[in-house]
Amino acid sequence: MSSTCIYKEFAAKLPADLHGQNEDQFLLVSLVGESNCYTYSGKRARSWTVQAVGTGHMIIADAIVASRGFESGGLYFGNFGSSGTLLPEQYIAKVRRMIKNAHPLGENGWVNNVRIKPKEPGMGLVAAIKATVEKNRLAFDARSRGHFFDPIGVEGCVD
Amino acid sequence: MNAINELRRMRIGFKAIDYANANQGYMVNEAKRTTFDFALVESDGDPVWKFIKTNARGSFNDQDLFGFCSGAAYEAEIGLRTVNGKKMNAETYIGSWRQVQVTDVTKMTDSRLIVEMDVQDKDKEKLLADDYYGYTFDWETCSLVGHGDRLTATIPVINFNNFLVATCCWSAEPKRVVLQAIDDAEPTMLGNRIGLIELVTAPSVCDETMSLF
Repeated sequence: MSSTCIYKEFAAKLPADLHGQNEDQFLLVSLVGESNCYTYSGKRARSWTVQAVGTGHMIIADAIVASRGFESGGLYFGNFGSSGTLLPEQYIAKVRRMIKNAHPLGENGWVNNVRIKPKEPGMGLVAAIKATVEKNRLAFDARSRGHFFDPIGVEGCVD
Repeated sequence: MNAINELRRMRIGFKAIDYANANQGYMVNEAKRTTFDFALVESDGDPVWKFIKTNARGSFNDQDLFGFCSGAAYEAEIGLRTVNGKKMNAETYIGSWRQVQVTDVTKMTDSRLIVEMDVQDKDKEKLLADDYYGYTFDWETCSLVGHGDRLTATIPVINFNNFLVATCCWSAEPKRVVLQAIDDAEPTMLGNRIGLIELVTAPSVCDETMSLF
């Protein structure tokens, strides 16, 4: 059975003029990989992904669900193996700290050495982020999780 | 939604259960690590015992504690759920469960743990006996009721055999967990004025140091 590792994770704070909402909005950005997926060079494959989008409250709501993976043993933080195990409450506390220490999203989508970019060709970053935030807000109101993956992606070094 | 206050907690464990006829040693270890966690909650009526979570294998509902915008941890986070009137955030709430002392299932004299599951008719044979895990459906203590192409099995988890039936048999629908009073006697274990038998549906939880309990 495969397991997943969150190698790196941080929160990015979106500028108010970018999302147009009253409350602060964040992206939870993660470098993740599966235990049984390898690159041609034999290294475990990793990729950057947007884990959650929304207000701090919405990010925590998502982290509560994700934290279950640490309870069941299918999710690791930092690296696979015993040193990567966390308790669910430790993960939620980590995410809370990430939100508190969120990196501001810079020009052209750069934040903490990764780049947030629209997935759809021809779509601008502002439009993509607005669409993402709005889409996720509607999904959250409907108590549905993870509907923001379409408009934005993350590029960055995976080593 | 009404505010939920947790008054007491109970974690049911299986360390002292008789494992003499175990086919699979790892299932013994797994059973020793397994708990079923309940909280006595008051909301808009008499206090009732609600199922919170289990780490048992096999199709148990994991939404009760970790549910998205609905689990007990989330309810604690938004202040809807309190523990003895005290608010706590999600991580404190989840962590507080580890501090609850485990009550062994063999020491439960006035209530018992019931697992109810729906299985399809084609899976009946697997439910009734499994050579690999070494269990057989105990007709003396368990019941099986048919609803068309679906069967509902009710299993009191009172011995290792029934533990295996309740956890190892796969079910397409999440299994339901109930704390049931034995006979009509008011169970001292559960306290006074407690509406007992409660099917676990929604999440409930609390967080706090166990000194509260």
